[in-house]
Amino acid sequence: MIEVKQLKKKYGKRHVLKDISFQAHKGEITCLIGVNGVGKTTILKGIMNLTPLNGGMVEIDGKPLTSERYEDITFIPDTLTMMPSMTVKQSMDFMKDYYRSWNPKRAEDLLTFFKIKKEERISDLSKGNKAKVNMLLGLALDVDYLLMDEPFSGIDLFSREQILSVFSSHLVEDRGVLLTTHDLTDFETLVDKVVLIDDGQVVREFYTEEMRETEGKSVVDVMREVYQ
Amino acid sequence: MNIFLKLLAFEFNRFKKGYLSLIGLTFTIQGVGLFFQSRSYLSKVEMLKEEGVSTQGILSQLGHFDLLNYTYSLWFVAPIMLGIVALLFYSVFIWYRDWLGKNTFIYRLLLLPAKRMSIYFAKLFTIFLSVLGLVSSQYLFLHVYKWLIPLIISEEFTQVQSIAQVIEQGAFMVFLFPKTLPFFFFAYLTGLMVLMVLFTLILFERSFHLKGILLATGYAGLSLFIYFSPAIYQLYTRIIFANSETFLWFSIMGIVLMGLSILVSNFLLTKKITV
Amino acid sequence: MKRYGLLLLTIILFVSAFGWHYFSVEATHNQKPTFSYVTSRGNKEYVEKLKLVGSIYQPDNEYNQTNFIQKGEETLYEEDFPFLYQMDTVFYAHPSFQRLYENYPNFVKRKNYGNFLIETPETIVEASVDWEKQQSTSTTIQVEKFNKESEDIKKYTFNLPLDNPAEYSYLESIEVVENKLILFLTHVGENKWEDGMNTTAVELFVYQIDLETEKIVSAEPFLTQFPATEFPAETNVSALNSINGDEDYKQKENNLFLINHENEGETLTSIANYDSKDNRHTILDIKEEWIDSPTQQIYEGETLYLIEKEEAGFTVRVFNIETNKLETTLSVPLTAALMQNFNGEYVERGMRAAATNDLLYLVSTKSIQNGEDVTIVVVDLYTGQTVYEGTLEPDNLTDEWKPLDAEIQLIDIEE
Repeated sequence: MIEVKQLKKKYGKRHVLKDISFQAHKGEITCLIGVNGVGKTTILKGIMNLTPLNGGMVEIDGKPLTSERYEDITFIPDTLTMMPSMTVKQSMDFMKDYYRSWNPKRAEDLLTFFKIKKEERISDLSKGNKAKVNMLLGLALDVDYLLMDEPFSGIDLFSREQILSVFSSHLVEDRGVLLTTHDLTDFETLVDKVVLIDDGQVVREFYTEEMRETEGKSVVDVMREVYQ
Repeated sequence: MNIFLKLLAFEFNRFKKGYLSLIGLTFTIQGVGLFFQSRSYLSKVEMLKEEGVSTQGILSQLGHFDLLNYTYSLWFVAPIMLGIVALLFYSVFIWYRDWLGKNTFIYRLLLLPAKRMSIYFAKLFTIFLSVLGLVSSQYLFLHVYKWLIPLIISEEFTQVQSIAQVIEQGAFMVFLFPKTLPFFFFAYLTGLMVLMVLFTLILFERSFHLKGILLATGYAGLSLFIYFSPAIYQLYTRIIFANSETFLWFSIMGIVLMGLSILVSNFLLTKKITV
Repeated sequence: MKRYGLLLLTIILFVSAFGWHYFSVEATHNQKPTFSYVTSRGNKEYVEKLKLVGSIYQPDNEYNQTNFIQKGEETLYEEDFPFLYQMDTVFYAHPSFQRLYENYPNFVKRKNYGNFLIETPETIVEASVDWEKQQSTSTTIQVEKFNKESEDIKKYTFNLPLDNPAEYSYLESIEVVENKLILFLTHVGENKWEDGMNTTAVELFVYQIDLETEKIVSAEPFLTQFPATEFPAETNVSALNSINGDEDYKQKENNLFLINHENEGETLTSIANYDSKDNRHTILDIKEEWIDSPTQQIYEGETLYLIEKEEAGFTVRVFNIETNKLETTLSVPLTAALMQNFNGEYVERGMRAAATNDLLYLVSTKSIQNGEDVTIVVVDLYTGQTVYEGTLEPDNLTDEWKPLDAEIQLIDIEE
């Protein structure tokens, strides 16, 4: 379980995150939703210690997160994290080299699934393929938790569909996924849990199925209530 | 440790092109310079010979053409300057290249399952070993030139010098090869210390941006103060230090600054860095 | 493993290059040259009596004195940047200071760089002006005497009375002759003129202090009314070498001082003699052009030799200190090619001179650094004839020899 407790973050005098607390469980897809600029990415970066926080703490399975535990949790940001001069193969070799949790078989499966050529240079890849390689590098790690930042932003329809199908496949099952998005179209059904964020605070936190069953509302319905 | 070694090799190979071209460029420019300089010297000798000037007379006018004199020519010095400037530039660029551009490699580095200081030390020793590699290759080149000169210039117009003597008296050489072994360690460790302080300054900027530049300036000032505090003390009290004392003082201050830079850098990398 | 290739190659390159260099430096570090010369009969003889002292690269006067350690701030450290001076390529303290420090750390540790230290066979004496106690009517001097054998340190404070009110006093030079301490001080005061103009008044005084009775034996004005209109006018006083180094510690009648007085861009140079036996001092009747550089001044007993380098040879002026008269001017003709050997990077650094047994020895130091033969010329001081002209061959110079380590001092040469 990823447990986020009272995260606070200031940019100058502006409180971006006032008091963010939520939980994301293993085997569930948790989605952080909010309009642009609300601080979703900052939360993920804060969890991974890529930006300093002004308060709060993060625990993974009851223990504080240190860099040694990056074998158990990984972060897929919305930009590719490999050097443009590298080929896809070199990127995969790099990961294999530094992570014990790298699963070469799964990496090959993903490669076939995404239909990407190993020999291609990162700089030559299309935007959609870059996103897929990015996804591949994260998903091929045998980690318990995956953090994804806007996995669908700015990519073409077919790539989007391909990536979406990953979420319903065996490639994700059993793992805890925490992702951010501002647009839930097409994959609302995939999401188990939603955390709505506005004005630096968690405004609603609910399970989608529960919401549908008890209140008969879709996630988009709740979003309308909150943001309009 | 394992990841550190891997990262070091990785960073070092990333600089491979720059590093090898610097070595190649040094040898090419110095070699071509040696060729041109000796040719122009020989043509002057021929001119004087035609005028009927004796060997002694020519020597008193032109002097000998030897390795020591050659080290003072721009052909020899320019590549060394170039190397220094290039490495200084790369010392800064080695960090910023991971932040700049579309694909931010720093994400990958910071997300590696290892102590973040591994990144710092890998980059540090990449620069440091490049410096040592460049200086060592220069040493080998000196031997090559020493061997070449008597082949170009006839015996009476050149003189054989030992490499030790050329290093002792040649341009720039004393900075590259300090006089004695203990001083070599002292000088190069001081260089390493300066690099560590520079890296800390960069991390200040990377962590706090505009405010970071201010903090970095403060840290630079503090470092200067700490390092030169024995000199300030000396100015104030007018006490003479013997060599051993000077050596000891600056060694201690160097170690203090290295320690401080590691502590501060570690703090910045693990607590304050922003991607 | 492939990825470590370049890294390993670099480390191997570095270890072998630096290892090679420093191994060769260390191996030859203590190897000092011996000198031999070829006699007129053609025999090669090794020189044992011939010693030249001082670093060959910097044979300036401060180095080649055995009785002189630290000649004030102007020769030891730049006053404002003592550290930077040390940083300057060598990074080492003045060799003479370093030697004292190593031998007598108990006394020399924590000495101020503005103070004067002088060494005799039995003692080291330090003197400094106590700026805080400076009064218009007296100058306070702190003296410490260190006994080398017992390691006792004795401290003295002397109040030197001033004839004319002074604002500052500077120590210019100190000498120890037997148990007497001789201090040369400039007193800087102010002249107030009726038209409201102020000018600086500078006086050079010599004080003789008996360290046993702790009494001021004499206080004599040495030079007064310097033509100083501007402050600070610079006056440098440095002791000249007498030739027989070891003899120096004995009672020395004549103590010669070279006085450089710089004011408004003009330099006046003169040589003064202080006779320590009867406290007599004299400004020698020496013409300015005789001691313009490039010259070397050496003296022995009553005779001062002023050696001037010419295009083709040397001009040697023999000056009698007692009579204060020029005795004779010798011209030593040498070929221009031979003279080349005496021209160092700085003219005055290209040679050493010594006189003994009526013979004058001129030794070129320039060529040593190139590993070449050292030129030596011996001149008969009666006839002016060159009696010997030849080379000294640095005998065991190897390829890796480091000339900076050579220390040679010309004391005596026998037929």
